[in-house]
Amino acid sequence: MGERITITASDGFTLNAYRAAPAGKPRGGVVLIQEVWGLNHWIRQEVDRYAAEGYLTVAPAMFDRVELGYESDNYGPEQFAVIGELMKRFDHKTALLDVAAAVTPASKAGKVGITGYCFGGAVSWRAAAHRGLGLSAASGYYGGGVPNYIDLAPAIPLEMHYGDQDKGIPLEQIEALKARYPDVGIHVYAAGHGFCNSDGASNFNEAACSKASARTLDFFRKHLG
Amino acid sequence: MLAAALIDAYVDRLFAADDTVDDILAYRESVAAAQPALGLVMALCAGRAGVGVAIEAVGVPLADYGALPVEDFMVSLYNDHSVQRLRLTLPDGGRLDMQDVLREALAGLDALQTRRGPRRVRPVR
Repeated sequence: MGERITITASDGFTLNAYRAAPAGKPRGGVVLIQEVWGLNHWIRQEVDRYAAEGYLTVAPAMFDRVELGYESDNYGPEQFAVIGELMKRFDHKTALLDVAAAVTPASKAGKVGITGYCFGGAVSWRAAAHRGLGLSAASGYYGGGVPNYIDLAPAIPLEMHYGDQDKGIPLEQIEALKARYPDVGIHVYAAGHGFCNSDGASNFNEAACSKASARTLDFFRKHLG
Repeated sequence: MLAAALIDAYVDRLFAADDTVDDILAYRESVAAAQPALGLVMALCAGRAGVGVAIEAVGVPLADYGALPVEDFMVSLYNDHSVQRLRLTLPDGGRLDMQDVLREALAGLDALQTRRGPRRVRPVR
């Protein structure tokens, strides 16, 4: 079980985060990037899971610059307008400062990887393309908006996981990523969008999630320790 | 386009089943006058100048977000709050939602069949 902390980015902004440490000596560190619902129950649960697998894990609250403390366990359409408003004001440049702020505490455990889901998957790709964040590997899940990051060449080992029935991420976009970056492990599962979120329920696919999660852990063991 | 082509072809089947008409062009004109959406579909399939299909980004006001399907919600978040829509383009530069046109065209086919009664399909001349 983790704890809520605050971290401070290089521009002086202090944001919330959730941190969980393994029981024994950590294998490395993981920065875990949220979906668009903030550091909600499912994200905190994922942080705890990575800690149980041996990684000192930190999840920064990526929307704190837009709305301090935003998080929600409501996956219904009532939140869509709220999240739409947050995304209107969200800045990808300062987002990487917040990622770097989370790398700092995670790096106390050794090499640091990054993972994330949907919005967090896209941030994982962006972070992997940005040298100097102190990351050693990235494994992202169904990062939305592929055309927005396909031109960002990864600078660290990277793999991504997508569902072949993801109506928000067409297969042709995933195929375009594969063609552009043949050295990046692009894994596709028989699943819809958000297939790893067991709280979201509607698209949760245990088989796909188990397989993808096992791949991520193998990837991190290989590149982080 | 496949859906449009099938609808267009079905108009010909209705002509074939109607003993009271001999001129297919006149028949299609009368169908277009009675069912405007069918007329648009026929114009599209005939390649009439200025009638076409296009995929366009359509902005979604935040107030409408709650009505979006979750896939459109996601697409809009990563595409400057717009979603992709298939549109029928018109000679005057106007735009119609293609799904609406197809839906109305299908309703038009139903209306034509109801008016005619049970179908008797005769060999195509």
